[in-house]
Amino acid sequence: MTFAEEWAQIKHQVSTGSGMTLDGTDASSANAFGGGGAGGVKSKRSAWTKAAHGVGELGGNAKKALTTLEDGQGDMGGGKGVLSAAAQKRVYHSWHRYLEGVSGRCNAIKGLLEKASTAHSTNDQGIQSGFDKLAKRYADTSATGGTTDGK
Amino acid sequence: MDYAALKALKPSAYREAAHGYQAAKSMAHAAKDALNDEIMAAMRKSLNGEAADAALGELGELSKNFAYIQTECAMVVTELRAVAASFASAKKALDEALADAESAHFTVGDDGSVSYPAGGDKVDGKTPEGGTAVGASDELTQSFNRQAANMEPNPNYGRAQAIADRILQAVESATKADEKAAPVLDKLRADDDLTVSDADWADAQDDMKSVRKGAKDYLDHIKHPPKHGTAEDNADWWKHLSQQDREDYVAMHPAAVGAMDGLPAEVRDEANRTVLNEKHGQYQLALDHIPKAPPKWGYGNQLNPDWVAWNKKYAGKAQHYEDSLKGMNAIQKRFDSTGRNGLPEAYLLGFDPEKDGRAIVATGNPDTADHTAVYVPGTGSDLKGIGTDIDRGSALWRQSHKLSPHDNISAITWMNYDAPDDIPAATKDKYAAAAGPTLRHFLDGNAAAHEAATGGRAHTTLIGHSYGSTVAGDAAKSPGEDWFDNLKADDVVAVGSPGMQAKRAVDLGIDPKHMWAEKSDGWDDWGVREGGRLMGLGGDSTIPTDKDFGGHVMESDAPDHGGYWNESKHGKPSVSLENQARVVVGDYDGVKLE
Repeated sequence: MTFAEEWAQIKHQVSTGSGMTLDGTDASSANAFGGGGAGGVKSKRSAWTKAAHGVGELGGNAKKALTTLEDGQGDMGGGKGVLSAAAQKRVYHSWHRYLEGVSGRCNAIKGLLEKASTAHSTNDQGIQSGFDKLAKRYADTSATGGTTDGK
Repeated sequence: MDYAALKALKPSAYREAAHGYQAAKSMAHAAKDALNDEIMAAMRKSLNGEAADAALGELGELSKNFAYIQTECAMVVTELRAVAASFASAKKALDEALADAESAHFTVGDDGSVSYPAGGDKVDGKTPEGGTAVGASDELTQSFNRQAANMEPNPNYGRAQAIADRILQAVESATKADEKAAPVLDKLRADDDLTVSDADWADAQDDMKSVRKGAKDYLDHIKHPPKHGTAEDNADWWKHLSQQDREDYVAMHPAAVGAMDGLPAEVRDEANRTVLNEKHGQYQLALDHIPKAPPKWGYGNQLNPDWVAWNKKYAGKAQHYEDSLKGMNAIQKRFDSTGRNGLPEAYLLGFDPEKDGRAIVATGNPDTADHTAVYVPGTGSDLKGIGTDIDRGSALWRQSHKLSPHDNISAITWMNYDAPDDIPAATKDKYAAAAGPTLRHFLDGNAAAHEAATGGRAHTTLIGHSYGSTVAGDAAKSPGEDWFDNLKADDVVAVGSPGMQAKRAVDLGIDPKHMWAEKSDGWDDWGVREGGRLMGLGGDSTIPTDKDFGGHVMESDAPDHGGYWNESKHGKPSVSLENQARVVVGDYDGVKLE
């Protein structure tokens, strides 16, 4: 089933109320020390929304830091013969790319968190697979920092 | 680098670039904290199920991105500052030489050579000619030039040569700094993917070594911490460092900073988490690289000689890595539990995976606490088993918080000594004798940091379990910041104690009204207590649960030597645990005595 088809199924189930309990929780997931249970859906929705908002802010801050990083770059003088200036440029480009990537990751996660807040909270499969797909997008390569190819 | 390059070089541009990375580092630090302590904590409090777990997993990975940015960019900042300093110093020397050339009306060529005019007394009716001095830096040429200057009738030559030499020296100094810095900077490039792996953390640790080496001269200008300083000395040292020096020092010496009693809890925590990340990466990588063991048995039920060789070379190492990683994962698990059931932030105040390993984990910030509990575990304690000890700290926090929900509480698991492996080994006091001063120093540091943060101290309860109470006894006996200083603990609790190296609480400088003890009816607890008594871990055969010791013996329902911190499924405390919590929050009237 595609992601879109899963979502369509979720929405159908929500609208017809089929197979779901009123507050969408089951006893085993109720928190022993309070939380969950009656009124659970509303507070869970806002928990997802709040998280989405928080992560969105982090993405914005990463973007701001990117601008400050850019602003710090200037002509170091001395021309092509200055090895450390050339090296710094390489370092800068790598972190510029990294910060952009992290900002993008924040936004992608924010989107998924927002989706989770609008979906019915017990149908976790669709949401979970969304996050799994994201994890695959950001998978590891063999290279580490400071290398240009897998060593 | 040549003369023209140094002339055009802008050392300040390196400092400005450093500002950019500094901003990235600060953003990442704040983002990581927001994720762990607010966003993820709130999610753990309100959500569960597979979707929440998947989301928290992804957020955990994002948090690592920020930690990685923080650690690496901090190093870029330090290295750029070091380079800027080297270049600025060379530039200054160059500018001074050029100024001298100008005031002598010499011309400096595009290659740094110095041309001088005719001058001096006439020889054969002619004023000695001018010329051009080319800088030299090797001994032989310099010596040759000195001789030439002595013979030269034009005094301008000698002066010009000296200036040309200084110009060359400045250029060579800058070139050296440049050649040294470039490869170090290249190592600090970001990873090409967004998964922060063990290899990435191990790499970060290597990067730190490179920067420490590369920026040594720059770093040496930072005032080093006092050697063998008291906690107050350390607090003082930190207080007087500039923000920039603090950043550079932490970036380069996280292990030293993390271990320093007297420094703020947040600073130690940040530093130790960096060490934890790097050590985890290093150890996991090392474990992964150990070759698989060959089959143990060979022909005719004989030990396979290949296995024997493998075992000799690798078994010890593999075990050490596995044990350490187990402990590190338990610490990480605690970090990932912040927010669940109201658990506050954790602070890693100590971490060292060497040998049996050590760690100090606080639940709740001890610098701003109203009540602090310091729990010292006993025999067999090590990094591998730290999970249990952390859980006990969490239980102490929970139950203390329940009793005083409007007070700030901090419960610290202090597993920072070499504990004997079992009771037979524990019958000698040498472990406690070594650990006592370390514990005392920690308590001093705890008080100093709290004082620096709030101007006052927390009500502090020291809880020693089993041999941990013996350590507490030795701590009370070791010299404090001034000779008459008592242990910086207001209440002392000895739980399942084999003895505190003293006959009475007063002998330890502890007010008997503030001395508490618990025991268990379990046979293993009896064995610890009586074994300790017999082997002389008490004082004159007296142990804390004896009436003669002078303290209060609290009621206890502990089923065995380890069962003093039990909670029911619904969070109800055992009698043993609640009594400890009552002492922690200062509710002495609420304590149930035996």
